[in-house]
Amino acid sequence: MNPTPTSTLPNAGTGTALQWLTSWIAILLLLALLAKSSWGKPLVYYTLWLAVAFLALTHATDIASLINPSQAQQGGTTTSG
Amino acid sequence: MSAKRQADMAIIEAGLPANALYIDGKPIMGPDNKPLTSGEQDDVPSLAPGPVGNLTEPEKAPDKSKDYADYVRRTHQQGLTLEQQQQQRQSLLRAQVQRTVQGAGRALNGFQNGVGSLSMLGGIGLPLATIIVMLMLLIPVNGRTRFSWLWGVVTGTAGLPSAVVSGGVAGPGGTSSTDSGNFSTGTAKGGGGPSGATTMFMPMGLYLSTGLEGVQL
Repeated sequence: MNPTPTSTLPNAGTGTALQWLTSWIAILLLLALLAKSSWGKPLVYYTLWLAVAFLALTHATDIASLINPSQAQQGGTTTSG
Repeated sequence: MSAKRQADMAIIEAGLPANALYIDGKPIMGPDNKPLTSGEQDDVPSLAPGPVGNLTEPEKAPDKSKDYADYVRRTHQQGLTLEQQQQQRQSLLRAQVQRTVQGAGRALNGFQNGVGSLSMLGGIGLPLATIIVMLMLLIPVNGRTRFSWLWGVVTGTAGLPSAVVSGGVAGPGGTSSTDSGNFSTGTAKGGGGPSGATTMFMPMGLYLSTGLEGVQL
């Protein structure tokens, strides 16, 4: 008797995408509800700036190459050479 | 009756309030040995002890009989005191809960007032616009960032396919793909020329000129 295969779902990635979409919608709804109150608006404001800071930190090399592309290219050739 | 017994009874009678006669803690006879009416019974303090459940530990009776009256009075008062102490403990607990709730409410109001008074330079729109611009500048899509694709569309080096034609893909401005040999037109079966016999299509929404590759954004 052959064992039944466990991963035969044709759209295995659909559930993951749905989870991401639901999470994002929930976060956006929460932020929208918070932004309606007088005390929640500063929370949303500084949370967005925190997201900007995280985005800048995680893409620091890209930002550096945007600001000074020639130096970034030189650094790349130096490391590769 | 012995002299010691008489002395003990005198001590007990002296300890009883108003020298009344009590049966089961209820005054029956007055000091003048006359029966008490119901109104007079209310005037004489009762000797009924407090609820038994309120007595945590019964006080140990003293050895000397002369202290019996004090023991009875003290036990009687202790019953009332325990009941009062229990009520006091309940009221203290209730007051403590109320104070805790009020303190938490004051702390929450203070937090809301403190956060609400923070300054927001540019409002929520400024960080939102910053995030959107950074996403367009930093996050690559199909090999290039969205801003790079936008720059390519503006300068004419990138764009959407204008039409799907039979025998070839039209380039920018409706020209055929033979005019734009540098464009990556995907699987252009038949060489992409106008003489091709098969229908052509773009695998992606955007095509890119190789001239854009030297542009730094």
